[in-house]
Amino acid sequence: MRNISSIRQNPGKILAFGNYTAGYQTILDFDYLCGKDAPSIAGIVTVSAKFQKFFWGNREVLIPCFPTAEKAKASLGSIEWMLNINSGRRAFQSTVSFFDAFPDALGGHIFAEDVPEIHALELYKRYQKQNKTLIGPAGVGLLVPGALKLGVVGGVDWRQLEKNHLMTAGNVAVLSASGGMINEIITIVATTGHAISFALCFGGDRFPSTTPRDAFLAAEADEATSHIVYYGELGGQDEYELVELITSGKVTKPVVAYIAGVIGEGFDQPVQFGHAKALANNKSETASAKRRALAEAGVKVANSMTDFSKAIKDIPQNEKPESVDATSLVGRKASLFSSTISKESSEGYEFVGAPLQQWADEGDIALQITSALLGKRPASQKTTEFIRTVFLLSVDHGPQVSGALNTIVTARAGKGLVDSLAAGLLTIGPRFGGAVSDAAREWFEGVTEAKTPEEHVESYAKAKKYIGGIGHKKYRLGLPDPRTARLAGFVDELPSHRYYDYAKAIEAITSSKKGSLILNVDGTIAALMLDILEQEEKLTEDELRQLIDADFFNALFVIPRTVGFVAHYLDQKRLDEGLFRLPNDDVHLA
Amino acid sequence: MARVKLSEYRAKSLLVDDYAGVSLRLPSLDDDIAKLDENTPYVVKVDQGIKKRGKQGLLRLNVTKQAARVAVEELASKGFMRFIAEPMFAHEESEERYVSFERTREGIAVQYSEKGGVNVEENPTSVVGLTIDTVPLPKAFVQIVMDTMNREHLSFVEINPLIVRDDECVLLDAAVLADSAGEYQASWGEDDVVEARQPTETEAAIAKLNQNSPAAFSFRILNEDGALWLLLSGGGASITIADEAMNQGKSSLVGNYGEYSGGPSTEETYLYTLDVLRQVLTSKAPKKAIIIAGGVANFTDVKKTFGGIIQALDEKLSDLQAQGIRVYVRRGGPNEVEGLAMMESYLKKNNLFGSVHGSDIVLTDVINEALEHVDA
Repeated sequence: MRNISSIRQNPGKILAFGNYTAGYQTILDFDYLCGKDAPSIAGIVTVSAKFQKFFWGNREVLIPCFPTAEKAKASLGSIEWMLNINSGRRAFQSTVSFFDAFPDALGGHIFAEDVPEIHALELYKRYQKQNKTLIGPAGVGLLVPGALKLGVVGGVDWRQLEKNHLMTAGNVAVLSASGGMINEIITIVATTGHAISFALCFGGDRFPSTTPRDAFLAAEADEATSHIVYYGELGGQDEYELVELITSGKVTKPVVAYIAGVIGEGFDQPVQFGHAKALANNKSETASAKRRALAEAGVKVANSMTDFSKAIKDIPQNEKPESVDATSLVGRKASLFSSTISKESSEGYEFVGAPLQQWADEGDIALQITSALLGKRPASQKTTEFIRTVFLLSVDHGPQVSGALNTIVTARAGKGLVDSLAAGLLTIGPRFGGAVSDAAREWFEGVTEAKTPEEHVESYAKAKKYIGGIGHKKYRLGLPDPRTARLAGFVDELPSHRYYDYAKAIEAITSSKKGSLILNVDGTIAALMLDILEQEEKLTEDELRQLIDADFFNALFVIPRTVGFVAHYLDQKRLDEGLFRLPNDDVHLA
Repeated sequence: MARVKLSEYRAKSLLVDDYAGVSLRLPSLDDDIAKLDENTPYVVKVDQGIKKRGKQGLLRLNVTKQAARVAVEELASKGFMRFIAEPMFAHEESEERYVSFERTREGIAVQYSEKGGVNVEENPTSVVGLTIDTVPLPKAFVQIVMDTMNREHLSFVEINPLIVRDDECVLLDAAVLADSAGEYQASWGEDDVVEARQPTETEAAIAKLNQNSPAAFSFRILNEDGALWLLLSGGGASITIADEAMNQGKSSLVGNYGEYSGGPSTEETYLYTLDVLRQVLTSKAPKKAIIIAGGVANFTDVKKTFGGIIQALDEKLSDLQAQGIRVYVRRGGPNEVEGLAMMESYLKKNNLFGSVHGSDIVLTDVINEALEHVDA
């Protein structure tokens, strides 16, 4: 097991698995009250969100979430500890995934109580035997005052931490099989005027990775610890190992102990108590037998909780721990939403990292819009160049198209700018203007799922679906769309362009069947945007997928076309032709 | 959570290919008996994880299909529900061996004796500790046991007697403990778990609640007419509190052992409490007390769980008042102040108040307060 003093000097970072808001918040509160610069929880492995919001003092911080440990590794770098809140069924797999991703980690804690024995033993063999410190399965983890809170040990409310002085190290090590009792004992230690050197709950499972023996040796090796307080239960043979440690001189520090479960001796059949190990199969496993053995080895064994409390009170006191100032945690209130785009600052309004005046000085609206879309300044000028070109080519494609027509009809009905523009924008969808997003998804899935262009075309043909980025009413082989030709100029500037190549390969198949099935302007924008984001902005596949799911690619149409719709609206107001009504012969009355 | 006993029928079905035994259960007895062969003599045994059945008269030898019903009914009259019929197997007592396999931290520990059978305990020196490589049994058989233990999450397999003839192993009796946490990956299920003692209605209801919740609930009757009824939280604290009754020499007054833990919801705590209260109300003890106690919880919310408890108390309020029952409380943890205040005001208003404490008194003192009431 890891030396407690080295944890005290260098506690390290935690990667948490599973959702447990209150538990994680208390770890952040512990870190904050210990005076750390940053939360020890560096990330959370969960599928449910990209970030989770916690308090850091009375401010809020976002802790990044990752779908897998592997993904966390890519953005967090090194991590020392795992805190695993997953269910018993998932604990094994997620623990293995943690150590696969972070082979140099020091260890972790598994909270689940119902981890199968086979899994627990395999984890013990793979990690504890290889010098990791794995606490659990079951129990509430490890707390080293001032340094590390790995688990719910000590409570999930900062008031519990404050009341029991858990931010300052004392001299009493609390070691327990029970998660509830460790907190009870911590409270007794604190209310009798002591402070703990560390608290370790190895849990009540049959095969905990860190055993009571390991915990005792850690307490013996820890220079801050002068006394050990131990809570054990009926069942198992652990206490005889402790007796061996004490009688052989491997543990010399004074021990106060309570072994629960004499009630189990009142039954004619062995009774299974709450913890998996808490069943006495034979006389030696009863609470009384273990109490006797420990007492004979010189341990101060209490026969009741009252005696136990007194024995703890009798432990010599060190200096009284200082109180920490926790006033900033009182009455804090969670915000309702978060924003990274803009804020008011002393320099006025800040938009994506720069005051608006600075944007005005730079004078590049394409750069400002590109930054707005990415949520940060683009890494490459080419990205801005491309988006500028897309905007210039997409501003308007004639009054006949659905969106423009609806804007015009609404304007002629006497409505104002916002209504007329909204009528046009609300027309954008799967059949009009929405094809860039569809095409982006098609190319992305084709490439990342390694489908051959033939398979891709075949699957669309089978499903009787159109490929969004393919086909044009007017242009065809031999009569190329001048806009796609202009965009294709960007291809040569990219170091590689797998999405564009894929789209062209699809076009080669479809256009050979029918001349009008060429790569259209939507398909070209989608393919090149994907390539630019990947090559120039270094976005990962996951980040690209997020953009596709968020309809990012449609923004490349909506923004310039808004200009076109406004132009049509103002044009209609100038011309003022009156209310529009369809001529009767344009409607077939069925 | 723990190791559970499987029925002999399920144990052998897992360990033996083409197992010829038949499970006989009271509700489906006619259909079960129909599976027996006309011309085979059977041994019929109680199959509820009880040891030394021969000595206790819990088996019948040489039972024909026609006589099976009578044999089962005789055994059922002793209070059993679950039986097994196996073809009789002729052998010499001297052939009987003993073997057990147990999962330990160091690997599978094997105990073996050439002198197996019902009297193995009288020859303890004949039992030797071996490994799966050194035990003198056919390799193929040992392999099957290992594979089954790993596939089915078995923690302990005891076969006694075991008959070995050349490469063939015959399991005359088998007792298996399985790891309940592995059930989701195994082919056995909750229905295969046996208890020597039939669970009471309340025990069964709470076992069911436990199965359907991520939190943990347990309940065991000790004395139906007990005076002290425990509604405890936490695996460790609950034993410690129950211990105090033992320390005071009053364990005979304790009606039950049980606990809830693992952050149950208000609704789950309500259902648990309701089951416990039904049991409390049927006790014939002249003076009764309910002890709602636990340590300083790490994460179980005191206010939430107390909300559920109060809801259940309220549902049974007139009965509790009529029997003069007093409630004694000691608890700490998240939302302790609010939870305790809520409980104190409820108990006082409804004349159930015994005492209410936070973590400022020793965990077990509440037992002594309750004893003063019931044992005065």
